[in-house]
Amino acid sequence: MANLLTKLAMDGYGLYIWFSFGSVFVTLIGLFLISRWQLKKTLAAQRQLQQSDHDT
Amino acid sequence: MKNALSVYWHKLASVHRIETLAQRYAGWCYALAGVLLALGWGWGLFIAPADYQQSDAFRIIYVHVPVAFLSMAIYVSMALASIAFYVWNIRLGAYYCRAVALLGCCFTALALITGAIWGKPMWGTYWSWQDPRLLSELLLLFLYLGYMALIAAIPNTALADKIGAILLTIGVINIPIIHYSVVWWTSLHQGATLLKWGKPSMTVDMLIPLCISLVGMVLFTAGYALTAIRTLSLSERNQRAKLKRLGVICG
Repeated sequence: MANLLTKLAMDGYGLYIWFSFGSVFVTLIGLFLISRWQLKKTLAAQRQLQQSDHDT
Repeated sequence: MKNALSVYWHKLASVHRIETLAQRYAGWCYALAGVLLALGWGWGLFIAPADYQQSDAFRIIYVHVPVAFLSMAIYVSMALASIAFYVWNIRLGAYYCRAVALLGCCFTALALITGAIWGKPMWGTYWSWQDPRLLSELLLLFLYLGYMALIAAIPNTALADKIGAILLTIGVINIPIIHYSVVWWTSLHQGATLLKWGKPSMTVDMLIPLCISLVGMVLFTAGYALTAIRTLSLSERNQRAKLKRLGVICG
């Protein structure tokens, strides 16, 4: 446990390193989720249009 | 011959074709990017040796360099796509610029943030207004924000794309300034690590995880661009269908 904490502390630079990697990781996940959500929303709108076209 | 080439070029760059590619490959790009980034970052954080001068702080390079490289590469690709749209009326160019502007903007902001975080333990300060590399990268962030604000502010899409294309093409002059700022002027920032003549300034055991992270980030960009282009194209088609129906109702 102590060994792992020492490794994660990164010679005293842990806060800088983990914040940098964390900010990039969170941004990438956010961008991925936004792009997928926008695509799903657009596909749902397309399906709705096709359905109403079919009904009329 | 010229006409045949033009037809081929337009077919190759058709939005419909990219939509099909996006449907097939965007998921693969994201999945491969995830694997490569996990590998590159894991290797960089826990296996690569510490730097003899910067100790473990140098590990920020595995996120800073890929985002900084892509912030510039995405802008150059947007400028090229703008030229293709403006000169040859290739609609995909405009779609591409709209699709990746947010990604480029985020990468530029991340390059500035991770650079500032790296700067504090190495230079003793997060930011310097006298540093040409930092200022030119900040200007790139403003160019992205300016482009996004411009296309959002003009309701006529075709006009917005044309004016945006001009802004992107003019703004590309900033890219060589960013790259060569550390050579031309005195800067706190270190010189080029990868993109330079001769050998890279890193040993192989540090360089391999950096290259893996870079490829992972490029694949993420490809996945995002394909998904966003598909969304834009579908949404425009939906809009056209709605207008068509409205015309039928009015008629």
